Amino acid sequence: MRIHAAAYVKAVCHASKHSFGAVNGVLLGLVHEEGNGRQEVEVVDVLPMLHQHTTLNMLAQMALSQADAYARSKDMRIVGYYHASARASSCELSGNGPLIADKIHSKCNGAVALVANFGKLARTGMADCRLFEPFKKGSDGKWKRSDEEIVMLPTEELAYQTAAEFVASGAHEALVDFDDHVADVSRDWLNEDLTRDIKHRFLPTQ
Amino acid sequence: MEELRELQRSHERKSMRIVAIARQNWSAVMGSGDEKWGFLEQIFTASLDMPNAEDVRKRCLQALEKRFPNSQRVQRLQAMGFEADGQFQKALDIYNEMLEADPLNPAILKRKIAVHIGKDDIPLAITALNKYLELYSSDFEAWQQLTDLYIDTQDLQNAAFCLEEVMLSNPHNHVYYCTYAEVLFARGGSERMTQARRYFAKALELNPTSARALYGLHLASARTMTKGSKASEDVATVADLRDGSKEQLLALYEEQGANPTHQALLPSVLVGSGKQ
Repeated sequence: MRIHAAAYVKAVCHASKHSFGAVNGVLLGLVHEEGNGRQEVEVVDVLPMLHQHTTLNMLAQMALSQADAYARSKDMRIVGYYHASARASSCELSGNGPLIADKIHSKCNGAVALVANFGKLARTGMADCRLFEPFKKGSDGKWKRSDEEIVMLPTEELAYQTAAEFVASGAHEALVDFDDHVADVSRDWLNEDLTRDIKHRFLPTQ
Repeated sequence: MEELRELQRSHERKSMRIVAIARQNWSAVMGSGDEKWGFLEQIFTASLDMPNAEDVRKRCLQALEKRFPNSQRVQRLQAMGFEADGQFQKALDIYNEMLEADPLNPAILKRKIAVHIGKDDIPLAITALNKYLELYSSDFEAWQQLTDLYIDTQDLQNAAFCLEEVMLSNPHNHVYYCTYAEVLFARGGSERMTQARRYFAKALELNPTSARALYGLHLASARTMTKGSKASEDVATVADLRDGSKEQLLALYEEQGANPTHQALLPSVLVGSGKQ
């Protein structure tokens, strides 16, 4: 699967901003049908959803409907879900993660769940490792870690370094999720300014 | 220092900022007279949240230990340091020892509950927190913590009960009414959906610009209509609520200057939600 670095950086920003609790969000992008019936997911963007009471579904439902409308307006679709739990020790799709991921999967059967593995940070820096692991729905209906290769676009180094920079400088606090947005709708849930700043990092330097 | 004072007042957990302030202004902190000890405690606590802040942690603890050599409060901070490092048994040993001398000390009882949460032993944390609340039933921070634990473990019936306690003592806080309504919404069923609608409406009354309450009112009304409302409920009234909340949301987004791209999505989303 392919992941655009800006999407990755935003997910890391979201999890870092609310490191004391769980956060979740949706992955937007494209599904490429390979010749042999396989599907390859390309994650182009993320929409951060909740950082409080992630098991309550009212706001999640509204966020999903709006994410779907936004994705379609950009000729994309919802291709997955991301989740970071409050405990660094576990890397599992917990809580109502499977429920939301299942719902997404019912409309996109190549859907992927990205589950945070912040436990890695005990051994290595944010600039040097990938903090989310891909999970896919197995034939038994359960979400399990997948060993599918992930290609970061433009490059892995840029993705991880940018994530580390944004968190170290405190820039990640600018990220707005749906929870933040419903408290003050002038706060931009689409995070257009932050996305622009992130993408600016990927421009070739003179 | 003013920022530190402000953060003490607001209780915001801006640990990264507090540690940065400490690093840049250490001499100012140490020179702030009697306020110094409060700052050191605040900085110590913040440093527990941050990676690579052991130096700050040590400096604070050393200064506090020197000034208050046999202090229970300082001992508690030491134990919190163990908690932050994942050395839960060491922390528990200190707390248990402190409780032997003072078995009903609320701060220590709550630290033990924090250890259970840190170890991810949520059932034990819930049991201990319930026992604590039997003793200290007006500790609203504790009721809120218990509410969160119940919501996280999806025990919504008990979450609702806790929220009722919180709402009783905070009858003007729209956030609790919204959360209560969301719990009812999540539990489902036409009666609860009707109740949820009422609590979202109450939240809206307390805070007329709450998008959260408007979304809740909109979805709960739409849901009540699709699943069939009670005979005594006027379908037209519920439809009015659904449509009225939609109008109010669109107006709110416009007034508050929300992102126009986002605003443009709303009409299609809000009309469609009645058909789920």
